[in-house]
Amino acid sequence: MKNLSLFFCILFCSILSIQAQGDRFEAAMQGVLVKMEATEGPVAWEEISNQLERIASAEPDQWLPQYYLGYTSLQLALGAMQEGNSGKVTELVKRGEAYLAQARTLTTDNSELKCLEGYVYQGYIWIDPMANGGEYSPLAHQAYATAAAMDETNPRPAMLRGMLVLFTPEFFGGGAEKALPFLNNAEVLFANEAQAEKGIAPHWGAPTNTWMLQKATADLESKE
Amino acid sequence: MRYFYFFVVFLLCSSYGQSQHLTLSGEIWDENNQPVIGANVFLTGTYDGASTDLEGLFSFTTTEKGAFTLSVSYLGYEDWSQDIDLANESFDFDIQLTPATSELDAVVITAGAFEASDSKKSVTLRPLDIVTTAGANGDVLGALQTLPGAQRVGEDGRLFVRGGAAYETRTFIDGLYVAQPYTSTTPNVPSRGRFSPVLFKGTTFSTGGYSAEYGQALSSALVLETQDLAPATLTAISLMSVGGNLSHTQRWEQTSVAVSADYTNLGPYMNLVPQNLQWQKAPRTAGGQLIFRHKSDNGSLWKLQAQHHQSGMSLKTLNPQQLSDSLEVSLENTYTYLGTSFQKTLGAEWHLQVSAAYTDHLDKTATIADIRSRETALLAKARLSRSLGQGHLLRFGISHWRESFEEQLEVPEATFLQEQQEPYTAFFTEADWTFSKKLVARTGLRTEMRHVSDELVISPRLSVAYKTGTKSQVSFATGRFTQRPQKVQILSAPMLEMEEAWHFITNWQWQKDGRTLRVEAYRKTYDDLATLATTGWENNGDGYAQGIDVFFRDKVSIANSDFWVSYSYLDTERRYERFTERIQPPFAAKHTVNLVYKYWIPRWQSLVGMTAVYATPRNYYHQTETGMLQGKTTAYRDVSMNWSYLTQLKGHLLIVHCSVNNLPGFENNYGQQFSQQPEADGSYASVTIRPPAKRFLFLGVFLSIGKEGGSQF
Repeated sequence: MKNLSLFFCILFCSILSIQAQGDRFEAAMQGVLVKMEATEGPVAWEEISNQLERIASAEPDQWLPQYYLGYTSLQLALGAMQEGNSGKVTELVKRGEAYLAQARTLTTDNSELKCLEGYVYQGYIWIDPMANGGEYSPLAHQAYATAAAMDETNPRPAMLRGMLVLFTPEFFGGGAEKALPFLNNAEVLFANEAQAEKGIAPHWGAPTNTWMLQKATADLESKE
Repeated sequence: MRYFYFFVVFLLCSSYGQSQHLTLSGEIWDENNQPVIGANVFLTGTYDGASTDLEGLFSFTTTEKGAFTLSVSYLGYEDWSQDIDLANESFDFDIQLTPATSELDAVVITAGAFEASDSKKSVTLRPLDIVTTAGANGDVLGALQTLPGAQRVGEDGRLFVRGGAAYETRTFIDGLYVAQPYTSTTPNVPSRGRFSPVLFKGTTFSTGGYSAEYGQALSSALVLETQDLAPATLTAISLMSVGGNLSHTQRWEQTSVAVSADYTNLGPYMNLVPQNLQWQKAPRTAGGQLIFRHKSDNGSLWKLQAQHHQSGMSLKTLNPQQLSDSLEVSLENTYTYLGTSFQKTLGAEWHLQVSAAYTDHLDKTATIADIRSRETALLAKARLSRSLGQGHLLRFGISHWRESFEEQLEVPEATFLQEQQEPYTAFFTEADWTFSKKLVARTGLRTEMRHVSDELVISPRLSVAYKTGTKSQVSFATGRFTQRPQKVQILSAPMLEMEEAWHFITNWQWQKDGRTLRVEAYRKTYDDLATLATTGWENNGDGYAQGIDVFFRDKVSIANSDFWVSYSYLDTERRYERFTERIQPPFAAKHTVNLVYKYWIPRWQSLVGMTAVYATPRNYYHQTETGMLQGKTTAYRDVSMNWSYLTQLKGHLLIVHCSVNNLPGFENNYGQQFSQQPEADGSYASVTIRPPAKRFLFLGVFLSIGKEGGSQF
């Protein structure tokens, strides 16, 4: 009887502790996501990346920290590209690719991971658009198309595809006119996503999409 | 008692909340003792950690107790970690990070090799660079001629490397050498490479000291690696001033197939623009190509490519017997190439590549006599490589090939036929040793057997590279290189031995953020070169070549620009073929300078390119009964320009391309061609060899029709 009580007591305590650990993970991720939503500028992204790295270190079986680390690496790469530091872009894109590979070992393939794969390809284009565009642009398009097919409610494939097209020169098949259908589609999907309770599941991108939609519309008007 | 247990267990469970807080703090510095801002400091396996602030300081608390690892990570630096025992006292750290050796900065063997590879690696030249190099006219070899070590031999067009004759450069596609990689042509009309640069994802142009995997090349190996799966479905149409090309690529999930047909005819152009040669029938080529790729679920890749081309030309040239008369020479060529390779990873460590190729090259020349010259080659090779861990790598393989030569001469009353079958077998073994992050070496041994003469050649190879700084390194390479005599020699003297060369190369390379500088010095000694004596061909020749090559490329200093400068100094003499003494061969210029400049103008959606070349005069010779006549060509001067305008046609990429070779119209000459019979006064009549035309103008439009913004380049 004594032993049985002890057993239950330990069981109860460990459930509590797992629960606490789980809550801690959720809370930590939630904290990072809040920061992410408020973020503008590379310094904040570095801090977010560091926090995610610590969460990933504490939760080696969770795919979301690896996924967000991949996404964060790409956001940092985007910043490095705007600074014109192609060496740093290369390092960050490869780092993002490594996190994506790590995330894939922790969960079954899903729309968000496929979408991140496309974003990694897009990162390779940032490294050297003239040299890499021909190879990676089709790969990115395909990845986004597959990601959209895997989950039709996911707005990120359409948003990133819109980004890819919007910033591709017109003579390479890009431009505002061709980007608009993707961005408009993403805008609708983002509106639906805002209704859903996503928790710590990926739900980033709506403000950027709105910004791109405005830019694309303005580009088109100034052309006419 | 029972409550005591509960109490203990409860205490254990809730110990998190009640533990004492421990503070970990410190400072982080980089290699220059500057504070590192934004580094991540954390206890591995926990949520506890912090980022360093603007002074490189960090501080965080933890409730953990026991053995943990404190880790520091920061982009571009090696991860730092230290095991710590968390007890009661706080910690204060002073940490210095060391810069990481990224893939881009890693020590690599560079002596003798210029790599032009896909975009993921640190490279010198990319396939796109080849297409956009002015003066190269889309020819791989033309672009490689702007690199140091290559000579400009305008009347020939092939690759002459570091005092080596053209035959000393061998081309390898997916590991197998390609017989006749150049277009067939008549004397003094330059030839081009047969293979389109867009076929290849990687080009390694080795000017010496190359891997034991490659043999039968005395001077240089051009190693081409074909593309993997085509990225997307695409239809491409090219219309050029000299012809057209139509191709379609279909991409499935794991398979891609590309077919293309091309036709070129220089006739219309040559009718418009005055030519130095008297063309009877301008050069024309028709052919097709098939490329197949399949990647299976287990990661193996199967590649197959085939091409067939027919070409012909005819012109009036000088009769070498009586210089005054003109003689019509016509040439018809048929070329078939078939290559396939299969690669697969076996287990975690082994990688297997099996490849096979077939070439059939037939030249029919009609002059005073009809000559039918056929060369076929059938090759097979298997290569295994294995990672030995810690950067060590072992490679070995076997190859067997069979060349066959046929030369048939028809004069009105007789037919002469010469034939020769040439089977060979080679083994190679090679190992890469990573002694440290700074020092790598490659040792190799190649054994080749020429079965006709039972000749066995063993060639050792060695390369070493040592990193002297984060951005610089020195390399050294040496080895023995052998090559069978040329076809014409083998046909009359099959028992000739292989020719031999030793290479000694040392270089220094500096690379930083899109800038590359390399300086390379070399010495090459030749032995057993085939010479023609009154009794026939012998292995009596020898010689040397030594020099310095300098290369500088900068993609970042000038916005939207990319340029490179190369300089070659060459000192060489040899006795070979008909030379009776050691002399500077006619294909060697002492100094060669190339400047290649490319400028992207976003407003005009245009890429403008310029290539300028200067090479000092070369010698030319004419052997007479009384001795050797010697003269000098003019210096080689050329400024070529190209302009590509990128636009769209109904949403598809359209490139309008225009290029002019020798824009200023420099008068280059390539020496004299002499009559074989002396005049009455004992002198020899001669005429000057000139380029086929002073300038060459090219216009083309290239349309790529693909759904996803792909391009044929």
